[in-house]
Amino acid sequence: MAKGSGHVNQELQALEAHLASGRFKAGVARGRWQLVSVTWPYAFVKVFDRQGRPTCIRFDCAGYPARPPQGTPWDHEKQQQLPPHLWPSGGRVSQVFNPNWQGGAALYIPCDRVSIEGHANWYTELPHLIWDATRGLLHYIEALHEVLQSRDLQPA
Amino acid sequence: MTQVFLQSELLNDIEVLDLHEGATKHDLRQACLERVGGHHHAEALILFIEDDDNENAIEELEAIVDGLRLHLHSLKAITVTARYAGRPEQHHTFRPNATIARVKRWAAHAFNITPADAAELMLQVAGTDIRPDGDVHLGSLVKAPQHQVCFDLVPAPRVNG
Repeated sequence: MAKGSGHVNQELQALEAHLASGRFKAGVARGRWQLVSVTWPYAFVKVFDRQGRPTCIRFDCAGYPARPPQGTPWDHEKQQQLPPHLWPSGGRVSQVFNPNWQGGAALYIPCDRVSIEGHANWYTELPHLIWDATRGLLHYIEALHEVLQSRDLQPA
Repeated sequence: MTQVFLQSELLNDIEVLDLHEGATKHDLRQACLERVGGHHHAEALILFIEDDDNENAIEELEAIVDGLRLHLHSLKAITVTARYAGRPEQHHTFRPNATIARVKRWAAHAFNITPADAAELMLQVAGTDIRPDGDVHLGSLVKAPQHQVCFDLVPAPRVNG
């Protein structure tokens, strides 16, 4: 049965509450990430790497916050997935930002809705990266920000 | 309107406080106490500025600037133990207003780890799977009368299977 608009409103309100949280705003003020826009069910957020370069991520937040979001690097101006050669890369960065995984439709990280499927081992191996609905989108964003601070990150 | 960020042993996460233009230091302290519900033991709570070891920093503040980061805690000091790769433990005392990012820089230095190598490590609260974000204040993790915490420096995750 299709969800009614009431469900959507609740999901959007939950997302907006997390985006209005002190934790999100503190990261914005520190220059760690930046909200670009919200067009339900998508939230577009720039996450900054160790060299200060932004990568815009499109998060599909349908079912939020009970269901994890699904993230992919995004060209916000052209409204399309970021071409693979522009994805962040290098060492463990390339493990998460892997355009060959799911055709680039999801980031290879346990807090991603698509990627967690079929990875029961992650629940014990990477418990701190398992989606936490109470922390919400910040959980995903903070994890990506941490990855993008890696020394393995390749220069532009 | 001036926005300041507040953390505390009495809060679950970072909170934003909106202060009116011209708010005084007294207004600031009252707003912080109100947010944590701490009026009943106000004198026991110290208002710190993030990563500033001067416990009187608020009194010496010339202006309340937008984005000011504060911490409200009943302790003046928290003892941190850091463990890494089976080496001898390291110890240091911080104010509760120390960020996890600062604690990590200290731990890396104490174990002679370069900043580049430290980027591949994270602090994890010993005996848990909690890896606090660098913006989190030490005092948010340590609630009085507890006054110490132990971290393991662990490898950042490699998601490869």
